[in-house]
Order: sequence, then structure tokens, then C-alpha cells
Amino acid sequence: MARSRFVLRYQGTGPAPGADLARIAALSRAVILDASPRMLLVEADADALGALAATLADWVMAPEQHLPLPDTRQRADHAPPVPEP
Amino acid sequence: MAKAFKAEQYVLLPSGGLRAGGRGVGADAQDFLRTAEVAGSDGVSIEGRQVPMRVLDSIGPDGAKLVELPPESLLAVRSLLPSLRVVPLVYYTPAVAPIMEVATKAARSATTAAGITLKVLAKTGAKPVVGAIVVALTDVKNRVGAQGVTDSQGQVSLALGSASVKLEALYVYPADAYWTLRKKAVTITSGTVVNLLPLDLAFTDCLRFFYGNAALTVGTGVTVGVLDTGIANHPDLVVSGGANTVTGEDPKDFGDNGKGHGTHVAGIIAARGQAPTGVRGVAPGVKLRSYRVFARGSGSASSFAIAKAIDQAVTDKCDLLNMSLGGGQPDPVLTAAVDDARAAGSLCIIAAGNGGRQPVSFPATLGSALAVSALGRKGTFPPSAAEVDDVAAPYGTDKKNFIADFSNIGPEVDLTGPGVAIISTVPTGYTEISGTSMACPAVTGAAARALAPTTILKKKRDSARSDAMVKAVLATAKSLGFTPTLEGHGLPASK
Repeated sequence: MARSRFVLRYQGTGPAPGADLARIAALSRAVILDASPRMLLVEADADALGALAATLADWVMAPEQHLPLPDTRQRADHAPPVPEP
Repeated sequence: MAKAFKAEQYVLLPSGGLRAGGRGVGADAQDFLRTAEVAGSDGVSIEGRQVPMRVLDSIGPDGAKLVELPPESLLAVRSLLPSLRVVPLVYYTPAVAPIMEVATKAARSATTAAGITLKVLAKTGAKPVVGAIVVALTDVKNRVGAQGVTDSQGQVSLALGSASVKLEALYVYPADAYWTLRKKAVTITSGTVVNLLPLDLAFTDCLRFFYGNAALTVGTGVTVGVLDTGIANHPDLVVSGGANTVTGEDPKDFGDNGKGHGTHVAGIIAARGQAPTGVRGVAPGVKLRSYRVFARGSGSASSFAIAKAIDQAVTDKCDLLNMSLGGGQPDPVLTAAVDDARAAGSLCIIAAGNGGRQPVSFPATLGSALAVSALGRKGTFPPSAAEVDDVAAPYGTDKKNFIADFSNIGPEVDLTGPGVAIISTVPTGYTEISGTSMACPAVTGAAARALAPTTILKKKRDSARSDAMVKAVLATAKSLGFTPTLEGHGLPASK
């Protein structure tokens, strides 16, 4: 099963419930890579983590995305053709 | 009933939940959600002002509304009811998998192509220009050509396939100290020399044209967080603190990651130098904080790092969060972080993106943030600069003004700011860069200018505070004569 990185964010009031955190940490083959007071960065099986997240109240989950550094410069994406001999 | 106006359909949503009593919904927005009638008249009264609008549907008597609005009403709603999210009605279509691009003979031959050595020198003194990106295009539209970076002699080898090549265009982007260069229809051979004009820090670029050179006290009392590549030590910048939220890196390392983008952004907001030896930002009196979300040496930022930085900046009591980034898919975690910042009395100001008149990028699409397009002005860069490509119709009331060709546009645009050929700080000195990334901090600085003299920032940190901030900033905006999809409310707090 595909393992990917996901961000989970607690949207309820107050700190994230310890019981919820314990269930996420206990998920088979899940690895918590980083944490903040309201979020976890988790590497896990997508289906297993999604199924667990669906049972947790006030959490949102999304695949980790990477946003590019903005740039307006021109660039060359393709090399020019080599002249025929 | 016949349509009385050319209208688009939108959903007006509370900032939290779907009902008037949701989290962070202002009193004015609650009143609107409770009183606006479905299939009523062609206008709705908001704060005593009759706004052309037709309410088509509602979730319950006090819930989200489906409405038809003409463009001018869209601006009025965003200004008068800032705690409502205004979401264009979208009809989704099945995503079609892209056809794999066939590798061309051109692409396959890249490693074997013959090289042309080009030399880049300063216009005066013939000093080699080191570290400049040179892009030689034989076909601009299809981005066919070669590129490289100049070495310590100012030389770059370009794999163009023959000893003499006619280019559609040659671009040079120096790392610092010089203007960019664009030459059209030029033939190059090995030994060709191109010369760059030196930057003059006293030159009136687009930023200084619209915002002048502020006193060092302008913006005092406002705390601004810059979520970016970090901010370098620079004689023109004072950074009061920050954090690095990149997973696996030192949380205290919030200096520039080597890309220079965040340092440039920071200078536009708050540089404290003085021409001709330095540069001055729009609001040099602000307290500047750096939140590094791009990994060291990296050109991408994790959504986790960005959301974490937003949370940290709110905890650190930043009033304004500058986010010169975007381009990902709509993301519920980033959406929640931006919404939570708004509910906690902090305002995210986000670049609309550089897709070239494409729809506004996420997360600038979020109704809880302010989205910024990029403004340019003829005569604020040399005619030889690469920025001549950015000039595009339509022009403003003043025909020298234009919204940059690279700027994304759309109904989500709230404001516009100078974003073409902006001179600012980089780790090695000063350079000029273009982008909505530059327009965004110009607007952030302008927002600080607008807020500093008010009592709004003394209010309790909640959504009412954020709403008041939005109203105050939008109230300073002046239209430059573009349509709302190009400029939103216009240029804020200009001189």
C-alpha cells in the first residue's frame, strides 16, 4: 500500500486531545515526522490514515504539498535541434 | 425578471461554519445572512448602502447565500462584509490525464550540442558579471534554447548546437548590482560580449514612484511576519526574530536559505537604507520577523512548514503575514491556518501568482486573505531590461501604468501593488526582481502605513480586529483605472 506524507490539523478549541494523538501515533506503520501545537506531519499508508482521520472529530487531513518558489524569469525547457549533417 | 446587470454567481460563506452564528462572523455579516431575502429585489442594503445583488438561494434562513453580483458589487461586499468568504461558483469537470510529452530530437541531443561561450560584462569598466543567469532562446513561445550561469570571468557556455545561432531573444538576469537585459533577434557566436547597466539605488523604480521614500518611523507599532526563504543579515534590514519551520532543520535558523527571495521581500516592506548607498522600504518602522518555510538551498516549501509558520507568526503577535508564495492545489490545512490567523486578529496578504493572466493561485484565492496583483509603470526600468516583456494592455487612467503581463488576475484580487523591476535587498547587496512576490510586500508595507496611525491594532486579537484591519486598508486604496479583476480595490496607501 502506498505510503505518503500527510498533514493533520486539529480544528477544535484548546489543545489537540491526547487520546487522538495517541491513536494517530499507534497507527500501524505510521511515522510522525514533525509536530506543532495543532498539527502533525505523518508518513503513513494513505488508506489507513484516512480511515482513522475520518473517525477523529475536528481534524482535517491533507497530503503534504510542496509549493514552488515564485519566479518570473524566462527559462529554456528544450534544447534546440541539432542541424542535419 | 430581466437581468438588470451583468452578473456572476458567487457563494457568500461565513468565515467559520455555514451559519450566521459561526466562528469569526462579524456583526454586519450576521445581519446580512439573517435578513437577505431569496428572490427579493435586485439590491441588498449593507451598512445603509444599496448594493446591486440578487440572492438566489440560502442554506436555511441565516446560512450561506448563493448570489448574483456585478463586479462593482463584488468589491462592495468584500469591503463592507470582510468576515464573509466570497467564493466564485465553480462547476467541476472531469480531470483529463495529460498526454505524455514526446521527447524531441532536440531534447535528446542536449548533451551533445556544441557550445557557444558568451561573456557578460558591466557596461562601464568591463568588469565581469559573476553568477548571472543567461537564457538564450531560439523559440521563445516553446522555450527552446539553452541557459547557464556566468563564471568568475563572466563567461557562460550555452549548448545551442552550432557555432553561430540567431536567437529570438537573449535574457540576462544578474544576481545583483545590475539591471536585467533583453535583446531580441540577436545572433551570437563564441566570444560575443553583452553589457549590463549598473543599478543606481537612487533611481525611481516603480515602488518609489508610488510610495516614495518613507521616514524611518512609518509603520511603527505594526509587526510583520515574512513567510519566505528567510531574511539575510543586511545593513538595511533589522530582523527582530522569527523561526524556521522546515522539518529537520534548526528552528532558530531563519536567515536566508541562499535563494535571496525572502531578503528581497523584506527589503520592500522595511528596508531602512538611504539612497544612493541603500534602499528604503514602504514601512521601515515596522517590527520585522522572519519565518523560513523554504528548506536551505531549496526552491519549494512544504504545506506543513507554511501552516506551522502561520501559526507561529500568530502566536508571536504578527499583525500582518506576508506570503509571497503559492501555486499549489487548494489545501484544507493551509486554508484552516489562514482562516485561523484571520480569526485570531492577524491578516495574511498573499501574492496572486505569476501564471500570466491566469486565475489567482491558491492560497491567494482564500477569502480570509488579501490577494495582490502586480502593477508596473513604463519608464521605471530601462528600455533594455527584461521587464519590457511585462508591459501589457489594458493601461490605467495614467497610460504609463499597467498590470504586469505575468500577473494572475480574477475576482479574488483585492489590491494591486508595484511588482515590476523592484529594487531591493539581497544577501549580496541589491537587485531588481519582478513578480507578484514583490507586489505583495509592497501592499503589506502599505497596509502597515494605513494601520499604524489607527487604534485598530490596540483591539483584542479576534476576527473583529482583522475585519477592521481589512476595512481600514481597503479604504485607503485608489483605483488606477483598471477593472476590479485586475486591480481589486486599487493601490493602497500610496503617496
